[in-house]
Amino acid sequence: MPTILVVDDSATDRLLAGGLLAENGDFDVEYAVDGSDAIIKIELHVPDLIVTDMDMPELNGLELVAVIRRAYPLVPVVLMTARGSEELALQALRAGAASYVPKRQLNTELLETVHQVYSAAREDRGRIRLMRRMTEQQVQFTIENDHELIASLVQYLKDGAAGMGVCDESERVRTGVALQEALTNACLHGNLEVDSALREIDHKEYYDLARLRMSQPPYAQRRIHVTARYSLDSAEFIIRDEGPGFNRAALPDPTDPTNIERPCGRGLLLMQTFMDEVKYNAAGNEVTMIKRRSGATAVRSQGSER
Amino acid sequence: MSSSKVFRVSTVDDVMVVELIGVVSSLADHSITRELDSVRERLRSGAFTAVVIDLGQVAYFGSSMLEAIRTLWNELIPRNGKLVLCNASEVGREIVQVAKFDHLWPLVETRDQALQLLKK
Repeated sequence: MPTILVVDDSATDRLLAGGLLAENGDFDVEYAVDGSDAIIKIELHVPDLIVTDMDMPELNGLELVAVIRRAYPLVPVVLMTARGSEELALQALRAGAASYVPKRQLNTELLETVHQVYSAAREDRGRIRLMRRMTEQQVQFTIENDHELIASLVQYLKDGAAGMGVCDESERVRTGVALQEALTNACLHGNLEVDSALREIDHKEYYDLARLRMSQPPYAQRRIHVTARYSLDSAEFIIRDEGPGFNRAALPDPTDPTNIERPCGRGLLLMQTFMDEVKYNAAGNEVTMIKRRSGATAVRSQGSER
Repeated sequence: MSSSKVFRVSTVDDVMVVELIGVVSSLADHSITRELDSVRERLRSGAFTAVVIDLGQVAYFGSSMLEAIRTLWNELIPRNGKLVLCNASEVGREIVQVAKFDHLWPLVETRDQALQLLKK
């Protein structure tokens, strides 16, 4: 039977919520008297779901959500909100709480909300457990020169690397920066052939030209081709554009003090900094970036299955 | 109602504070260039000579954001203005340092430190 931990410093509310869940919901219910007590109880036995009050001494609901998201990311948290705690609840939802129920409506809404959240979490948990057992994956995309698609693709690719356990959170962010730079280069410099030298003169003219070419042949017909290969040891990203290619050697060195203010080469520099390996094809229209899993990023094997 | 997606502008005494509130994926996004131009216009019309760029709301940014900051800096150069960066995340700090932009502008921990630095 699934276990629910009810956390509330008010004995009345704690027992009311727990009673509703135990009597009508086919749940085993455990109790904690505040956030700190909840952490101890969770360490002893990880519940399937947590129902918590917001306003508590020691560790409030918002702080408890933050701890649970970090240590037990698959355990959903449902908040019980009283009048006056709405702002705190909003922050907790942003921090990863799954849902909330106003305390004055516990009788009518708690059980249904907990059932919904528990069902959704069980599906997520199954999928995540399965994904953690994937050993290799390859995905391919062909996209237009569209910055919204690029942003979504960056998100998808970096999440893929994190999902395979290649990256921890901070490396996921760095991987995202490198991917964003590589895809933006493929779009602006590759397919749209907009030269950074123009940006040195007038940034507005540079971006106006980019926008114009997004709908102008032959630039508009060109696509960005992306292949991502994930394994347990690395993530490899191959990004190719359909432009004529560029000569990397001709770019000014962005780290040269005389070039710091010039708007060229910084994207490549960030790609080199945040990836373990970056190489280009001879034509200069394809870049391969490799992110290797380091000992410190063995995130897949850490933490609770829950 | 403000429709700002990326820049939130306020003033503290005679200092313009530009807070980054969203990720700039590309300056080719028309709405972002419009926002950037609006900040430049405000900088120009207010004759500001001191700007704080607060990076605290964004976990990371790329060369497009660096380019946007450089564009604001270009407005300050003719007026011998000053620009200070603050509140960068660990990755944000790394990005500024990789680009060596910390050679151009001081990068400090908090907004208060940035404002203090501009008062000197």
